Amino acid sequence: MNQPAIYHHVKLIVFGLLRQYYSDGFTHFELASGSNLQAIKKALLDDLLLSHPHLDKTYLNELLASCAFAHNDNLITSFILTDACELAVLPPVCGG
Amino acid sequence: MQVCIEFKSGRLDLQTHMKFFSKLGISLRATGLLCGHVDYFNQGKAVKGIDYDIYPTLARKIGQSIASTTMAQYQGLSAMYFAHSYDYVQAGEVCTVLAMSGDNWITVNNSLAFFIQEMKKQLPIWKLEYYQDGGHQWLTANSQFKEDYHA
Repeated sequence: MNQPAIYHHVKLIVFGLLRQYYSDGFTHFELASGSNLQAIKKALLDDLLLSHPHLDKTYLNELLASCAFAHNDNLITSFILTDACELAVLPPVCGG
Repeated sequence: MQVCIEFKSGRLDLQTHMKFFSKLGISLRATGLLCGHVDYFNQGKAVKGIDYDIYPTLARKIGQSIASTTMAQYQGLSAMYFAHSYDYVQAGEVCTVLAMSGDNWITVNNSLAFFIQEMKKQLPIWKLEYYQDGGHQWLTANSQFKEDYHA
């Protein structure tokens, strides 16, 4: 008999042009324990398409592919979900 | 080397920010200043102002990292001051102040150029530009994050 999947709460703080899709500056959802960054990006894509069905999926895919993630104020290149977490989603920068 | 990195809401004031150097009490043989304004025009459109979005804790960390790289690359620097605006800044107002002090002008000028280029590529700052015609748009990015700056 399979063990029931464990889900964790994921809160994503968004920056830059992603803010135009989230007026509060964040979104959140539940994801299965063990999910990686790719799964989190996929969940964010689904969330964006659900709340903004007029957006082009290819455009969003490219946008999210170009985004970096940060956890506890550190840029991360890999991540495994083991508990509730808060991540920052950073589109390519445009300072100065 | 004395380093100060600050992020302030709204426009920057040059006189206020340059006080950093007047209080140091160290040798300042050559000091170079670079300041950035919100431009009145961008790609033919009249600009009203820019709303800067920033991730301040990460910006400070990456700014310190760029400062360390700059110090390692340009020997003889004695002090650096960097300030960047967040929130709304009107066209024509100052949004970036960068000043370096060092042994000679060549080092100072080269380090200013290096730091500002790295800053534009690395710092987590984004621009929402507002136009005189009532429109607005997020500006195209300078660069993606380098993996060098992950944890």
